[in-house]
Amino acid sequence: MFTEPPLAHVGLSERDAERQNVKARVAKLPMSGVLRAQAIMEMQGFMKVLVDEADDSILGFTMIGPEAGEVMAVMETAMLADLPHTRLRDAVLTHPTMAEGLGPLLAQVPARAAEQAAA
Amino acid sequence: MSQPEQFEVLVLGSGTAGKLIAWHMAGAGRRTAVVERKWVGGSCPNIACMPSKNEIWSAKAAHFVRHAAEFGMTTGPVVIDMAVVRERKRKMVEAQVAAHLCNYKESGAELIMGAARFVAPKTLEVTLNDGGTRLLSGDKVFINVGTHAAIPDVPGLTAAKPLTHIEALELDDLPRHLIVLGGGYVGLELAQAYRRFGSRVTIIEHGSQLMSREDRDVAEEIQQILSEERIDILLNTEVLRVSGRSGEEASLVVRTPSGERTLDGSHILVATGRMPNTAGIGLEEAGVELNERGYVRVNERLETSAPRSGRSANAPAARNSRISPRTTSASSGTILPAESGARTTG
Repeated sequence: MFTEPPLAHVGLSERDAERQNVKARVAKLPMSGVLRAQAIMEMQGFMKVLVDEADDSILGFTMIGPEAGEVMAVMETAMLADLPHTRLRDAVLTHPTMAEGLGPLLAQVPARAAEQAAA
Repeated sequence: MSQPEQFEVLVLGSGTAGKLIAWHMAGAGRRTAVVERKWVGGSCPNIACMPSKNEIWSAKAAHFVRHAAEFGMTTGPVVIDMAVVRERKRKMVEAQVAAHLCNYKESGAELIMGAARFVAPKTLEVTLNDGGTRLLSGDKVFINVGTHAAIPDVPGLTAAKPLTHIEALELDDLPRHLIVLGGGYVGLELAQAYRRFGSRVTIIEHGSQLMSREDRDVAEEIQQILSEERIDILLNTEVLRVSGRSGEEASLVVRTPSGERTLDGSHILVATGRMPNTAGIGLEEAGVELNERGYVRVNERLETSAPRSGRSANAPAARNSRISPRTTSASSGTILPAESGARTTG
């Protein structure tokens, strides 16, 4: 949706996951945590990601913020390639772009419940 | 019935999926025709995706200019001339249409301007816009008819001649107070654009949040952003009746959780959902069944109930990606030529 800032969404929302009984890990980053947004002082909105509980695949992404549609395309590409979220999390994305925020967003994805239990 | 002109591929509706199929098929050497009643290229370049983004861009410019002082610039009073906004949009649309016509010419697909209806399986009778009729038949027929804005059944609303997105993108004056029925994507985009041009804007949504399909935190964030731009948002609100006329004076009686109230506006924009353009085109003659919502019933290969026919628009997209509904039609348009066995040479 091309409001300002726009809203972009790909894959599952939290609501979809709940309805479909899909177990997902959710992480959310306010746009104030994205350096590009800080730089241009446009800090309304957030990024949100759903990652599969059982493996590291990305199930869905939602963003309200500047260039949300472009950032979504990055996430969609990762999803098409079945990239584990950790690969994108550890990637060096250009500073300072909106997509750079995917790093800190994905870094906030909680560890799998099994791993947490082991720790 | 006289003998129909025979095509290998016949497409009803020149919207995104239909045109991609037609250009692809014609480019692969198939004898192809597309029937379109009004909009060359369908809604997207003419009255929906592209023109709305054009005017939203103008609204963004207006927003920047109004806030110029924050960026260290001094401006005089800001006056919006909607006729110029519209003219800029029209130039974009004209260029789009010209590019489409060029693609028809280059691909060899014939574009036939007129209103079509099925008179037999795989056979269309076209009432040509320039007069006369043509009878067309296709080995493969693609139904790509799209949707139009639904006008809810509220007393006085139809008589008030409300705007849909089509008319809202053709205004040459600025609404004093735009009342938007529906807090979905279309309503919100245009609400914010007109607010930024300088209209007072009120959004009326019957549900408990904006954008009913979205997560609540997403809807609330957008609501907060729009409220900060001083757009009035009424949730859980029903329109009971309308009097007057959009474009002049219109009055809406609404029921909110805190009681009934009357809203006076200069314009009403209806953005409460879409209806498929499947009525009155003889689908029953073609053996094409509709579902309970009036959309063409299709299988997972986007085939209709008619024997060996294809369909394109409003079927499920292969992937659930959305920032714009065009995605659905475009992805169908990419899938179907492959499914239909057409291959471009080279």
